[in-house]
Amino acid sequence: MAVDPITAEIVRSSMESIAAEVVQTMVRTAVSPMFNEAHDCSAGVFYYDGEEVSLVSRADAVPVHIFASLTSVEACLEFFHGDLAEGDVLLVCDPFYGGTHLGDYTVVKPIFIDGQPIFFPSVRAHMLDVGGPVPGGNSPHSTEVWQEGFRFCPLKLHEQGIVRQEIWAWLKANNRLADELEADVAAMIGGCTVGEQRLRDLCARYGVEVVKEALTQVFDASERSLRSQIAAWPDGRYRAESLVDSDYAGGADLPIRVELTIDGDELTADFTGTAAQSPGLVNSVPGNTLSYLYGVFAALCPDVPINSGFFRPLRAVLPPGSVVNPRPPAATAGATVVVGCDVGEAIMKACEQFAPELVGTATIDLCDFWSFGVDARSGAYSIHYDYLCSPCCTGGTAGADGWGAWSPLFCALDLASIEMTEIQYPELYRQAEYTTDSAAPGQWRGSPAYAMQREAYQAAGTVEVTCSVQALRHPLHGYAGGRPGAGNYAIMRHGSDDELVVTEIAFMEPTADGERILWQSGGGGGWGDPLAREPARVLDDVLDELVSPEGARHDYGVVIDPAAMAVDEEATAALRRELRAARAAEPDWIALGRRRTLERTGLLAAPEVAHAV
Amino acid sequence: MAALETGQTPAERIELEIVRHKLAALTREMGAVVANSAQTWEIAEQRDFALAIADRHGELAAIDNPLQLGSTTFALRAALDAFRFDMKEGDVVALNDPHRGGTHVQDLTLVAPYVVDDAIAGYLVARGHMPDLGGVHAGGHHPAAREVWAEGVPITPVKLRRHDRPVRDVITTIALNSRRPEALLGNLDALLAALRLGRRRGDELVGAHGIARVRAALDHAQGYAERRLRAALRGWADGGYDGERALDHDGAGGGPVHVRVRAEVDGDRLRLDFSGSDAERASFVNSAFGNTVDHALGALLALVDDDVPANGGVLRAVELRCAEGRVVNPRRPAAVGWGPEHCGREVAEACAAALRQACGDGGGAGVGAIASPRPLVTFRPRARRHERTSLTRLQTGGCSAADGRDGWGSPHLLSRAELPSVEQWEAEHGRRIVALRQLPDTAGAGRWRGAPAVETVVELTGEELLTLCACGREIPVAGTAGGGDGGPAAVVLVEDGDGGGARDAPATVVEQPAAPGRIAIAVGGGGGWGDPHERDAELVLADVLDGIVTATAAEAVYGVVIAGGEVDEAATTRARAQREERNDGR
Repeated sequence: MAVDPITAEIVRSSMESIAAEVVQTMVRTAVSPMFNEAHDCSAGVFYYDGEEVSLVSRADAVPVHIFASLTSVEACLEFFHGDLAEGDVLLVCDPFYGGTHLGDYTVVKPIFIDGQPIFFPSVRAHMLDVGGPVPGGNSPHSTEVWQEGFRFCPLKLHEQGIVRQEIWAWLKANNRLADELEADVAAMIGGCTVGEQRLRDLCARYGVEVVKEALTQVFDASERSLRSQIAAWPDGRYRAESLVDSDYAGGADLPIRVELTIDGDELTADFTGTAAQSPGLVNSVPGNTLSYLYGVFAALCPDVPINSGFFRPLRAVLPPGSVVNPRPPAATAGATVVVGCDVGEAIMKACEQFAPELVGTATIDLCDFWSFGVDARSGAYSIHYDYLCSPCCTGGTAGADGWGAWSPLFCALDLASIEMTEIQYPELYRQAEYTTDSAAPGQWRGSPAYAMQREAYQAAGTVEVTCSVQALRHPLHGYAGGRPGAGNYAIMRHGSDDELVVTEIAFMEPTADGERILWQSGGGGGWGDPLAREPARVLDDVLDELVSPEGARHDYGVVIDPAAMAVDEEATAALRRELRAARAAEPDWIALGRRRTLERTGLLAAPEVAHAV
Repeated sequence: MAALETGQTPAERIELEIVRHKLAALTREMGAVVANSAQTWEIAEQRDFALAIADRHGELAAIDNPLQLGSTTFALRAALDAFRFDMKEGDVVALNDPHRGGTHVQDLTLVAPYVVDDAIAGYLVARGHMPDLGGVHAGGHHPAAREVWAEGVPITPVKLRRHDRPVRDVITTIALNSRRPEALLGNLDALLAALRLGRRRGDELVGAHGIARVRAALDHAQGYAERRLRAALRGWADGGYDGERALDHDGAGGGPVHVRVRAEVDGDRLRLDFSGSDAERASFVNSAFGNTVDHALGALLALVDDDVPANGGVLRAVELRCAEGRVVNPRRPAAVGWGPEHCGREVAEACAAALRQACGDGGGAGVGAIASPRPLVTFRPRARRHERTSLTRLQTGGCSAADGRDGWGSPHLLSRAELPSVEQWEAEHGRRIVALRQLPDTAGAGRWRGAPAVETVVELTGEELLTLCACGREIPVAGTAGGGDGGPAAVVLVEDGDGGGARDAPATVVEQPAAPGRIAIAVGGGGGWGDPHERDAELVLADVLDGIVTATAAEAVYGVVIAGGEVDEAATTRARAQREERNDGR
């Protein structure tokens, strides 16, 4: 019994609205700033047809959360096979039970209709603390998942509508922020409960059989759309790689290699040749790895509704024992935004070879700050994960400069307000701005790098800071001739005689009130040849102070008369001819902002002054 | 309760006594099931477990391991706090929370209701040491731990079984947090089997004596223990007595850790207050309060002259207190992983020191030290994180003398453990024990001498990462009533090709490579009792012939001169008459 396309579309967009309402309920009732300010949580609606679990819709979602939730929901259904009832609410987090890392708690609420569990609204959120030996769960000394936090298989938080108090008490006994955990998980359940009501309303209005058939058509439609797009791309094998700077456990320059094979309307991503799993915490379990595969193609096909139908033409080969498919008990706390992001980058770089006009930076690189201390104003223990560190990774893409903070796949996240952050945490921000000449050059440039300075303020005693950096040696890729991002770094005790330049990690470094931490979050890659950027746009950048006249010459070959603030067309044409010839011989030339980053961090010696003529 | 007792006929009272003994025997039978079927040496060999039977109110009527009387009681109370109105036949509650009256996270307690005629008649409790529950290192001993979460996963009361069926998500989660899930589940099965045995035997008892009599016996057992203890306390002089014992260091670079107790005897009541102890430490030496009570009661029961059964009746006559934030009552989430060894043993010795004074001329005063420091020495192969070998397991000796008896073997508080078998250990671990021997002149001297120090020497291949916390090197076991201290403990590393040169191991080592060679660990000697010059010369001769005391020390310390394999009576008399006042036992 087919459903008419209008009804199917109404059902589809209802599902999207439901997911949106679930996540809005969550962020407006959660107590942690991670959720109510930064929105680092995602909601989705899943569907079980009796055989397999599908993603129906997601909203305001970080792809690595919600696509990875698919394996979490599957793990829940498998574990509770034969033991699931109306009114149950499930919680799962373990990386080896379909999760990513222990910090990501996923609440799943089975909705029974006519006696069968059919729909599963779900919320996934990263908890600030999950017990275990290290506050926050991230440590370069972790070599096993037991060192990262409290593990659990799928658990029932509610059983047939009754709160299972013993489980909540157990979770709280393994968490340094027990009251926040309880409130935030309750908010997640609240979101799912709102989702349940809307789902029941939808099924009541159209009938559950109509909804199920509509979903079948919705999945098939997305599958067809992607298949026709894949079929339009040339058949072949496309290889690319992206390197992880460090696994914080002695490993460096770990290659994530992918070969995309397009065969008609099917695409396979084979990660053979990728680095072996790490003794440290960066390992990416399959749910996490696949979420980036799906995420990249979602970015390449912005008009196609994203659901499990969309995933069908995509296959992956994940070598067991590699860093993209580690064996237990591998540590995985760093999975999401280290290896995961390089997985996304490698795939995107391979796509450049057949769809250059669609590609661009879609992941983030890591510049990660955790602070642990006591807030003197309240006397309470405080864990602060600072979202302002990784915002600027938007890259250029054909027709658009990089703009704003997060790259597309992560832009469901918000930047927390600095004023609110200063109220909530014992910190004071001294700088928060774009920097000049740091945007990755391209015909369409990346967003400029973001520089911040912060110090502990009104903390009681020492605040310990763990700062992890990636993408300094191997920054975000440039595409189609665009330059790579400037790269990330941090400097603790900035401006003192005792500066500590962080190029990989500083773990639980003590800081005192007044000591400044500076960090640069490098922007995403540029797209296209910088020498093809319209000089008028370069002039705009100069007027906006995003590019200096020196940078305009060095990177873009545009000569600007500083007195008139106008482009000198002839000089520009001549300079560009010269640079074109020079760059033909040196295609990996270093952009000005990138050079300054390398010098500041000691990766490149101080320059001989060499001006482009 | 008094009314019940006086209203009974002699025949009834005899029957109550019989049931009381049967209950105590049942806990030992349950213990045998656990020891014989558990997977891990901590339970099977060290016998680190407890089986108990409690009344409806959650007070223990019998327990097979007196050293876990306190913590088992508190664990049961915590389980009942959570589930008192939600316990059905076939339910089993599990918990390990050190900060709710527990010891350390490895000690898992299971509680099951005992139901007769659809009403709860009492509770059965089975408790055992689990091999690993997460944390930083396999086994849970991490000297630098600042929080309990570095040692493993706390488990607040949760139901493991409901209506006699497993609760899969709880059991799976517990096993998921262990590096040795099969061994953990095997131990769990052993504890569950003991509970089942307890139910069966309980039914037999009820069948033979009737539920009313069995219920009365649960109460009678506690009343009996209470009366015996109060009678003993009445024989002690009222007053306040102080005891103190120190641990060399805290395993994290901090100096000695002092446990202090003030014992107050007031008629037939005893109060023990530990508030004068050091503040809690940022390391694993803190003793959770349940553990503190365990060791305090262990000392009390060891010193009480009469045979006082270990059960809830004891707790009625003793009040135990400590301010929060002390090393023997740390606040959540303090680390407490080594507490059951140190500073638990320091708690026991401090209490013994105080209570010995209270005993006066009573029998308890004749008991020497009841524990001895045991260095933590473990290692694992570099490549395999889950395999942890404990050399602490091999350590024996350290028993102190008592009035009328030399020390032999393990001290009182450690005497429950089986002595290890060298052959079995070598077979299990595929490596050689080079030597296991007594060291001469390390027994605390006295009229009755302590046990000599025992040294174990094990090969190291160079593939090991060592974790150790040495103790007892600076502060040996004390002598009593004029007896000498035992020889100090030792942890010594010898590297191959080092010309045989040995060096003392650092006080604390965490996961450091060891060079190929050998490691020698000596448990210190036990303390002596009484004046060495009053030791029977023939006994000294026997010590010399056994290699426990050298002929030189026989003369220097004991004043016994030995010549030609015999005591030279005359020379001995002269030496003893001439001696200078010396109290060292070395």
